[in-house]
Amino acid sequence: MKISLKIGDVFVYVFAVVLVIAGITGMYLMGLKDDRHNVVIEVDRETKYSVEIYEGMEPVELYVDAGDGRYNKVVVMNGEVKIEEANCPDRLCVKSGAIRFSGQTIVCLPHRVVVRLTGTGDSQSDVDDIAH
Amino acid sequence: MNRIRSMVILGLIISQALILHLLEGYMPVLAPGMKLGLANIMTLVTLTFFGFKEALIVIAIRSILGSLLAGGVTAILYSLAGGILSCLVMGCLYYKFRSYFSVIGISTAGAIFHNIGQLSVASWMFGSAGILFSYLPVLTVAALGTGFFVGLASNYIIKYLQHRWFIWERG
Repeated sequence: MKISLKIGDVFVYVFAVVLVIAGITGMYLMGLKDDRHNVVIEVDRETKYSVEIYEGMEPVELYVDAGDGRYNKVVVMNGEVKIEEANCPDRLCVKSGAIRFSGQTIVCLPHRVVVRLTGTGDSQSDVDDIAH
Repeated sequence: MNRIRSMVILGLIISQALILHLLEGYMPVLAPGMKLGLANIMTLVTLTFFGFKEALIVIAIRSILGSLLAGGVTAILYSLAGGILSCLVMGCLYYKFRSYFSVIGISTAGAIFHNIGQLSVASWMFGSAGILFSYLPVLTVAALGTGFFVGLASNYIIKYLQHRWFIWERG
């Protein structure tokens, strides 16, 4: 049997390429807003920690307690964040590695933990400052 | 086809989709959320031989039962959102623009929209659009590959079943 692609299939592939580009640009637009970030760690949509992160900082270890003995150990260091250790069943949060741009997230679905990099909202690094 | 016969066949299709859904859970994944989407084969078969409403029923029951048996209660939401969105898109493509799309194209579009549905629910639940943006590129590239092979498999099974269908219809 021969594989026959039709004209409409091209649109599906074009749409996919557009989505990939949109995703990447969206990620970088959120990331390039400023170069200083806050690490926000949420458990069940409640903010547990909010730590500033910058280049050349000393590593900080945060123990995130998700209740019932479930934990994630988050390491904030030199411009990046990662979950170093966790006792969730799939360990996808540990495997997903370090993040360094704001807008990026590490998610631990079983523990409902989100580690997110956001801009600081600090007026020193705000774009509007240049206009003033 | 009479009601009882179609009910039995739909039941068989749902159970097959469920088995594919569960088996696929044991497969190793490259990135979180990446799946083969083998159960989509049965959705495409239902779309071809029954109709849009039946496909929606198959996908809803498969998502709920599959999540309860393997994933957990929160997985129902992700699975349902992805499944229903992909079913809407595939149904639209199949019934409105069938002459322009092959089964492979329809299945790939379904895979892409399954991801969009799941990621939208995930970013809504966690209140962060970052999840959507950072996972979308990886999952879309994966969907191109898996959608292609799922479409190919569906193509074979639909060709085969079309041949058998007349025997069922008359028997």
